[in-house]
Order: sequence, then structure tokens, then C-alpha cells
Amino acid sequence: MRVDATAAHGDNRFALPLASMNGEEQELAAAAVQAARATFAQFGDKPDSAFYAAPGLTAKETWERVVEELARVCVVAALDGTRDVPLGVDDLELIHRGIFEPVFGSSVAGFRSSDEFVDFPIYVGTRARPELRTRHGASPKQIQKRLRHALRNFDGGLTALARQAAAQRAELRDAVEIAVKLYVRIIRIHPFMDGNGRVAWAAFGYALRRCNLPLVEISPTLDTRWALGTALRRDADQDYGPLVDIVTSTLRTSGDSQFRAG
Amino acid sequence: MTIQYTDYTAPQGLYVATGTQLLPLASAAGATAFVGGAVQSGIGDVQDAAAVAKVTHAAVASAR
Repeated sequence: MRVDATAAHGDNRFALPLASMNGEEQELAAAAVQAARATFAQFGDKPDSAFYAAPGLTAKETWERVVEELARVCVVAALDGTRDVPLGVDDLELIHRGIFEPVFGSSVAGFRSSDEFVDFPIYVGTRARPELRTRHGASPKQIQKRLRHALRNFDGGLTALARQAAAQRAELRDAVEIAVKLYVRIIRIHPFMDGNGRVAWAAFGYALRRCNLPLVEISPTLDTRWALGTALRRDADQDYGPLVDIVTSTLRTSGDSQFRAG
Repeated sequence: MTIQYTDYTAPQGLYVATGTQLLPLASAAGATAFVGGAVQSGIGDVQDAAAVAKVTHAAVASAR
């Protein structure tokens, strides 16, 4: 039996169907969903297994629906960032529910329960020779505490950045680092059984907008994955720098000069 | 709170930085760039992630 998407949103603003949105939110979300439909074919990664098949849908249909919901949710999160809406631990779970509940129903969405542990792959090694390794997500009992900590750090970083801006000393790389750290920390905690990268990406867009920065397109190259893996390491070689550099460079080379005053 | 930078001028409104250009999110190209980043936001490789998730799910199921 298919999930009734219109019944899934409840009080969750991240699960609001397009028809229930208004103004700018609806226009942008509709564009993103349309783009998701139009661009789906170009992505080679189409999990084709029972694991990804939602009730009443094939794996392919499921993947397409999830991508559409993801596009919509990312727009809502970005607009929240633009409007300086605070982001709490509960909101991260609502983002996950917003993406997956309309497709899978409520049973699979939300934080991992106390008996659900998860591993995930990361690229480590050297930049020239990345190697695939497995990492453990946080213990289920630690998930909410660690997410609170990550969000507190983000808020603290924003406050410091605002102080720097008031003194006309705020620099792009400092802001990118604040947003990247939130993105990486969510992935490091891995609060969900599935969809962690997607929720973290939505939060990353939110974080960039809180910093008054554009959203970014980051190609999933081996170098980018190595940079993310390096940020996720737990040893002495852990470093946010490579990923911060990639995002900062993406922003700088995207036409900032045409908007520069004078 | 609109933060201004000494070394970067952020565009006003919602844009997507692709590395070569800034695209309005409301445009088809901008939305496509944004959605592409979101779709590909899996860690490592999507297929690797799927494999790990399946193994983990199986382990959890067998433990119950």
C-alpha cells in the first residue's frame, strides 16, 4: 500500500507538500522538484534492491520520489537559513522525516533507536591515493547529545562571525569553515540508519545561508570524497582544511567579482 | 543578520555557486546544480553506502 504523502506532513514544515506552500517557498521548491525529475536520468547510482523499495513502489520509483522530496526539503532548509530561523536537534529529525516519511511512511524515519548501530564508508589515505575505510556512527544513546553539541558549536561560530563582521573583519573562509563543520559533524554522528548524507546536505545549505553565502554544487569526485573523509577522521590526520578549501574555492571562482562593489 | 565579508561579496538572493558561475536557484540550471549536489551527497560512494547499510540492517534484523 502506498504512503499517503498528504497525510505525512502533520506539523512538520519540512514535510509540507508543494500545494500547501506559499510564495517564494513554493516557487523555489517547485523548480527544485522539477529539476530533480528532469535530472534524475543523469545519475548512474540507482539502488535497485528491495531495501530501497518503498511500499507500493519499485526501487527506481522510490529513488525518484526520495530525490524529489530531498529537493523540496533542501529548499525549505535553505530558506530557513536565509530567514535566520534557528535549527535544533528536533529539526534535523524533521528534515529526515520530511524526506523519507512521504515515501516510506513514519516507521523508517527518525533517529536510530537504541539497538540500531551503523557503519559507513569514508575515503582516507593520501590525496594522491585515497583508500576506502569503514567508520562507526555514534552510539544511539549519544546521538541527540552530540547533535546538540554540534549545533551549539555552529551557533557559537555564527556569533563569533557576526562579531567579526561588525568589526569589518569577517572573511569568507571563516564562514565556510563554520558551515563545513556542521555538515561533517552530522555525518560523523550518523544519526539515522539511512539518508545521513542527504540530511547533512540540507543542513549544509541551511548553514551557508545563515552565513549569507550562496548554496554550492560540489562534484562527487574522488578528491572531494577524500577531503570529506579527511574531515571525518578520528586520528591525528583529521583535518577540515581540504574540504573548507574546496568549498571556499567553489564560491570564489563562481563569479563573486561581478557582484563586488566598485 | 546579514553578514558581510572583507574578501567576498555575496550575491543578494538565493544562488548556487557551481565553481564557474553563480546560478539563481529559481532557474532550471540553478535548481539542477543544487539538486545534483544534494543527490550526490552520499558519503564515499552511493553503492558502497547502500552495501554497508544493507549489511547493517541485516545484522540488526538478525539480532532481534
